[in-house]
Amino acid sequence: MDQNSKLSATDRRSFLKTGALVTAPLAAVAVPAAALADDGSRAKLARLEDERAIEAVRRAVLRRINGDEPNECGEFLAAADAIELDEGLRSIAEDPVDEATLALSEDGARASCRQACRVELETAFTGETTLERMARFQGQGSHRHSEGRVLVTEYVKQAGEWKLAQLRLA
Amino acid sequence: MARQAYPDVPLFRYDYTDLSEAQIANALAAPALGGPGSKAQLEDLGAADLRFTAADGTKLSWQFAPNRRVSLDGGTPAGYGALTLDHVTLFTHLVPNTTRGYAVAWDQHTNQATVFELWFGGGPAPKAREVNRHIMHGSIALPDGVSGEAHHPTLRMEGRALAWTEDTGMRTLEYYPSVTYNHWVELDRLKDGRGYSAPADYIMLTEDIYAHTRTESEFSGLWHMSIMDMNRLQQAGLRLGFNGADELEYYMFRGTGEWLGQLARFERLGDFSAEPLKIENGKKGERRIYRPLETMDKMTPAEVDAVVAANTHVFDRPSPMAGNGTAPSDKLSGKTFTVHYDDGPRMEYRFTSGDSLEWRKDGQGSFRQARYNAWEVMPNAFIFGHLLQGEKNHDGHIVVADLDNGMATNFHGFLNTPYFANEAGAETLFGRIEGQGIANPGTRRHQRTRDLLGRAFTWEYSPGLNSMHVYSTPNTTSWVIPTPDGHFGSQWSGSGDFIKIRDQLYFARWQEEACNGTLGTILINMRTMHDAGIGYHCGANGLSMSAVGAPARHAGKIDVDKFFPRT
Repeated sequence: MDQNSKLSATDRRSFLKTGALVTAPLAAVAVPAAALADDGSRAKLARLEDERAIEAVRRAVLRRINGDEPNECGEFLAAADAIELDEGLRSIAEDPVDEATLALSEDGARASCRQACRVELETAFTGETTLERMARFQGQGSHRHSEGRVLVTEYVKQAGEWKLAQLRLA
Repeated sequence: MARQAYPDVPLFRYDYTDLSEAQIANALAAPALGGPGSKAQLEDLGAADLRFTAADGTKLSWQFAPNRRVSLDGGTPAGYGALTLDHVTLFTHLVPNTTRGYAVAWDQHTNQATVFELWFGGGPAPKAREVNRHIMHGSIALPDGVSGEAHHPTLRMEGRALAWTEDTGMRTLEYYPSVTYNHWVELDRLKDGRGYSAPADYIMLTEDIYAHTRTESEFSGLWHMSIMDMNRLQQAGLRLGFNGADELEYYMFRGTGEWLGQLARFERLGDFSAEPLKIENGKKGERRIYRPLETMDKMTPAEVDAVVAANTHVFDRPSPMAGNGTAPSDKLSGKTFTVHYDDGPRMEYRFTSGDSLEWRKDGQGSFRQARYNAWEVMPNAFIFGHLLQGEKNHDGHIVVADLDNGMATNFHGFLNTPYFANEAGAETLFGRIEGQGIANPGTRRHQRTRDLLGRAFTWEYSPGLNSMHVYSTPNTTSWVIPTPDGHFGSQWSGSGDFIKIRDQLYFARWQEEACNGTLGTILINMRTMHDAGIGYHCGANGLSMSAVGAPARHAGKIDVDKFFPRT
């Protein structure tokens, strides 16, 4: 079984069943150097590094989605079908007020993140209803609107690098 | 078809002659010299020399002479007509030996003016008989100078409605529910009291006085305009064009108005912009004119049979007309009842699931399965629809069943009308429901209603897909499409029917005749301000029955009841 098929067989529900999850807001990354001297310092440092790496993957992927280049995300993905975008999605803007909630598995090999966001969706009026015909006649061939959603991302560590296993909007 | 000046068929069914420019020039020759007719005494502008400069620098001059003669830019004298409304004068003339003419609204207090250049043929209208107009705002150079605000397009008329009675005796209801369209009802010249929609101009001349035009595009092509004093409810106007008998109508009129009400406007507060559909860098006279017949699929009965066999969809895909609709109900599942329609079929139903039923018509043969959807719009009042597969006209039944009262109303849709085989025809059937636990209404039936007459509702179907219905006459539904910033723009209309189901619960329909061909039906709950409905449509992409549903806003009610006496 290759890595991708393992991922596809491991949905979020089974991931959560591992039970031992450690959750923390992503913003909590600043740890005093003295704190690293105790017995837990290595684990804490590793966690900080994981959080930063995951954050970097997420931001890189969002940059490409918002730049209308979702096909350029390959290097960050654990599987080709990791990104599930709503039809007509044009952009995802993370809610700056809401702190992303990151959950790391106990073995440090998987992670899940949820963050409130606003998405912009575009609907093209290509149908043959009279309303769509008249909208097109008026020069309104499509409509954009934004709505609040939750950005759900799943990550997996492969060969020491974090990869995006799934991105979807809830 | 015999030529009729004012046809006794709906205007969208009348075959207007495609007049040539030469025929039109010939018809205009004598009137150009004689000037417009008028019941009212036309005014004499003496020896006025009016030199107009438009905002774009265009210059025009009129030299007036005795016996109502005028020369445009020193050209051949023409006959003119003039009528003044308080201090605003409307004068008009044709240009001899051409198919052009002018109408000018001149404010004698400020010397601001609006010039309507008019012409037949040469486009942009697709047919020569349809009057083209080009509007110029500017001023007239006179010794007393120019003052005040320049005339300009306005949204201030949007939503109003007036009844006008001309000195010709003709009465017209005019709805102005759009910034770019007009909806009018001829009460005397046309039968049926139907409303029609046409591209319009709304121009603010003063706080009191507006200029309004409509071009009866898609129909006769006539141009009807007036300057209207909204305080004094007086108008002076011009009618120019060819009626259904191809007779030239070229006359001025005075009229008196009656204020009928005001619908809400939906632009942002403080937004007074008034050209939402303007074509930047358009050709002279060009504007957006909705021509639905051009884009409508027009199919033969054989083509309809083929497309129905190959491509029929009944509630099996998302409907953009119901993005904000309510969920279908499965509460009919397990029920059986029979609807006995007066002068119509007897329909037996077995609802085998939430989206599948069996029907039998008039007890003939075995039951047939059909997919359906139903919505419970008020407790125990349902709208449901299904196709009658195997019927030669590919019929659809869209039924409101009130199980509390034992009454049903059916907007029966069918194809193969005499006009276009894919255009939906419709009839309204009233009946009673017979079934276990369902009260027998005896002879009581749902009734046609005037409760919706003159009302307007907005409908928000899906993000970006909105409209406003105006129930302008007892047999007309009109729909108006807003722009994203809330201006109402293009408009069209078709036959309508309106049935009262319960207090504040109404079953309404519209037919998109010579316009996409859909039968639209909605059950309107004015308590929840939401509807649920069903669209029945056939075109090149197949036959479909699909959901309609949207939240509503009540935009107002125009008081027109007295113009439609009950017969």
